[in-house]
Parts: sequence; C-alpha cells; structure tokens
Amino acid sequence: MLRLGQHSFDDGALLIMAIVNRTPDSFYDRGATFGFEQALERVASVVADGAEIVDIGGVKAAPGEEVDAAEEIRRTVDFVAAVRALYPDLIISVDTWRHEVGRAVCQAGADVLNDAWGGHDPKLAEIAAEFDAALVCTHAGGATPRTRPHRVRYDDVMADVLSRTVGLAERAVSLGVDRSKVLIDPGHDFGKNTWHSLEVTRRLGEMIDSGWPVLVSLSNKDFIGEALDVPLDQRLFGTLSVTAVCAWQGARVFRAHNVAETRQVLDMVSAVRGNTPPRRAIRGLA
Amino acid sequence: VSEQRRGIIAAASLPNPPLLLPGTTGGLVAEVEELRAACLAAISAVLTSEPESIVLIGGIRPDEGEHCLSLEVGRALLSQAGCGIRVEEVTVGTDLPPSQCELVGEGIAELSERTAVVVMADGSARRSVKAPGYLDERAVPFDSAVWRALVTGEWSSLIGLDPDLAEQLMVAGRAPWQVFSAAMLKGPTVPLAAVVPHYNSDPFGVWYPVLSYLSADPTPGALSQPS
Repeated sequence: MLRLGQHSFDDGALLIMAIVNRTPDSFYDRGATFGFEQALERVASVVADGAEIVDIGGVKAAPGEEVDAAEEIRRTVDFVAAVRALYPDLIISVDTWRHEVGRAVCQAGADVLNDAWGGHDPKLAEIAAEFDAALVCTHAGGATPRTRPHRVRYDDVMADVLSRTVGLAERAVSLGVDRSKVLIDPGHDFGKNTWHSLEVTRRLGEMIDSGWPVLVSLSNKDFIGEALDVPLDQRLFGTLSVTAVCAWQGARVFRAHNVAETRQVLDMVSAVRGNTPPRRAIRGLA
Repeated sequence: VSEQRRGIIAAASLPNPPLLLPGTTGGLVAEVEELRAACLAAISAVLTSEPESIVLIGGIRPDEGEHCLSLEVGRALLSQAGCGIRVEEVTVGTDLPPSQCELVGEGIAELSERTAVVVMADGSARRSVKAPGYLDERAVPFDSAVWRALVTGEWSSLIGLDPDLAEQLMVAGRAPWQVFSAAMLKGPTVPLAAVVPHYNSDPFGVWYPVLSYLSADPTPGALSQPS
C-alpha cells in the first residue's frame, strides 16, 4: 500500500505526477508557468487531465542562473499554499533538494518531498519524518545538484541505483518517515548518460523486486531525444513508449509534462494487465 | 388455483447476446444497460403471475459443445431479476428443423404446473454495414415480420420461418422461437392476450426484441389481442 497525502493506493494503481514549474528557464516549458496565475492554470489543467499529484519546482535541474534557498522558497511556498487552498484533496509534491525549502513547503501543505538530487542534503529526510510527508529517494549517482554528467562510469549502473536508492529509503524509514510513504526513482539522465538511462529502464524490474514503490521521471528527457535523435518538441511518442515499458514492468508513479497522453497510456497498460476492465467491450459480444 | 389456470400462464422472449452476462462489457455501456433493464422488466412482469416454475429455452450452436451461452445469459437475467423459483432448461440446437422444434414445444405445453416460458432468442446480426455479419438487405424485413408475429401472437407464422434464410441472416433465435411458438400455440389454457413490448432495437447491428405475455384475465389494460 502506497500512501500519499490523504490517499492510499493499491499495487495496481498507476499515478501521474504532473510537472508544474515555477521557473523561468526549465527545459521543456521555458518559463510558461513561471507566473503565479499561469502556474495555477497549469494545475487546473493537469487535474482535469487526470493527474493525482502535482510536482511543484522552483529550480531548474540543469545548470544556470543561481537560485538560492530564499528565492526557491519565494517561488514555491505561497504557490503550494494557494494550491492547497484550492484543491484540498490534491497530492502536492515539491521538487527540492534543500531541507529549508522542504520545511517551508510542508508548513504550507505539501504532502511529498521529491528529492531528485539523491539525498544531497541529508536533512531533507528528517523534514519528511517531522511533517509525516512522503519522500522520493532518487538515484543521481552522487552528483552535485544542477550539474550535468560528464564521463560518468558505473561497473553496474543498476547495482549502483539499487544500493543508493534502497539505502536512502531505509535511512528515511530509520529517521521516522512512514514506510508506506517512501518511493524510489532511478533518476533517468541524472548522473547518467543515455546508455545508462536505457539500461535502468530495461532493468527496472530489479527496482520493482526491491519492494519499494518506484517512481519514474522520463518526460521528454535527453535519453529519449538521443535514443531517437529528435529535438525537444518531438519526444512525446518516445516518452509515451518508455512510460508504457516502465508501467508494464511495475513502476507506480509517472512524473510527466503531457498528462492527458500519459493518462491514456497508463489506462491502456492497466487494461492490458487486467487491472482495470475495458470501458466498453462490445466487439464480438453483441 | 383453478384447473383453468394451470399450464403456461405467462411467457417472455428475451435476446441472448453475451454482453448481457454480468461484467462482460467491462465498464457500464448505456445501450446495454437499457437492454438489460428491459429484460429484467419483462421477467418481473412474468413473475407477477406467480408461476411455480420456469421453462427456459435456449439455443445452442453445433460448435458450442456442452456449454450453452444462450441459457447462461437466461440464467444470469433470471438471477438478476430475483427469480427464486425452479427453472427447467430446454436446450435447442440452432439448426434443429422446424418440424422437430414443434415436437419439443408441444412437449413443453403438456406441463401441468403453473409454468412461465422464457425463450432466449434474437434476430439478424446483419442489419447494418457495421453489424457483426455486415449488411444484408433482407435482414430488417425478416426481423420486422418476426416482431409482428411476436406482438400479435401469430405463432404459426413463426413456426413457418425459413431455416435457410434465417441461417443466412445470422438469426440465432429461429429454432428457439419455433419451440416457443409451438408451446404457445398449444399450451395456454387461457390465451396470453396481454402482450407488452419492452424493447425493439439493434444498437450493435443485431436485433434484440424483448416482450412479455400474461393471461388476459388477471391483467387489466392488455395492450393487444392475438389476431
């Protein structure tokens, strides 16, 4: 059983974590939802499209203009509070590696801390425990936040992913985070070249076998662009393909830009697995 | 109960597509639920006559083996309608010649209990280009003739249905209707004059008629009389 906010989900549930950037410079939307009102419109849109979770971020992942904790708090906290007021049941996640930000957003009503930089700030897990929030434990290969991989090597990338993410998950539980509120994420593209990201996708079942619920963040990433040699605006089919591959292997949460399309893919996978019935089965039965 | 009120005291004709089996459509499909509601209404009407038992007639295709889908649909509908009385099942080969159908039907008519007869039968699966069997222009006229006969109680015209044409038109109900018609022609000691048409449509290119028949005497407001 996975518990997020006020909700509990059984093993068959496939959840969408919609990306809501309060950044002027994120790679996919390039500032489209930096403004408060535009970001609120984005939340309304992704909720209508079927997202269970919104993941609010105040700092782009790639290198760029410095954003300190005070500025990150300024971008996220009031917005989290506004979303909480408008959507009391919506699961709110915040994408941050900083415990100061984690504390402020939890006080404003966040349910999930998405630690996408792999435990860089060890105090973030303590904040999750203190506020009974959920925690995403991501593999970033030990990379410093907002750095690009450069000549990264692993003897066995999945072994490294497993030892780091499961280690972070067990540490979080030892600090008091509710075991049913911890997810692990292989961290596609984070501390990885395209070969690494393809391999962790192919071997995702090893993460599933660990027993921790798995979140994947695939949406429009460079490993898809490089696998297909397509620019940013042509990565949707690749994203949806790899979404289906991960869902089939057992991933539970999908961090996504394109919510309506992702919902349809996940619903289709769920139907193929036999977890949800077809909506309307008439063919050959009339 | 007087002697006059023994034998066949009520009847219904219901279609038997597999999509009426519980859960078969996955999510709820509005057209199917409307059809199911009509079937349940017909069964409820029959049960108001307080039969002691039900004879359930189903058609079985030569390739179906032991498992009769038609009867399975009938059982499911009876169960959903809350029918708690004894059900005697009669399986009819869908290729049974009309003369033999008549013999089977006459046997049903000889039952001495207060009996309701429920026949699982439907019409052509070739009523449109999107129908399972594609469009055959003869399908709609064929079904219309069946409907007229069912509504007016012209049992002999149903016994006269052409088996070859019915097969070409993918009419699953021909033989079951002929058994039913023979029973209805001979069976009721009081004419079943109160005919209620509950449904008459083809949402998926297959014709589904739903009707119930009650004795005229206990039922005010009979809708039509046998000609």
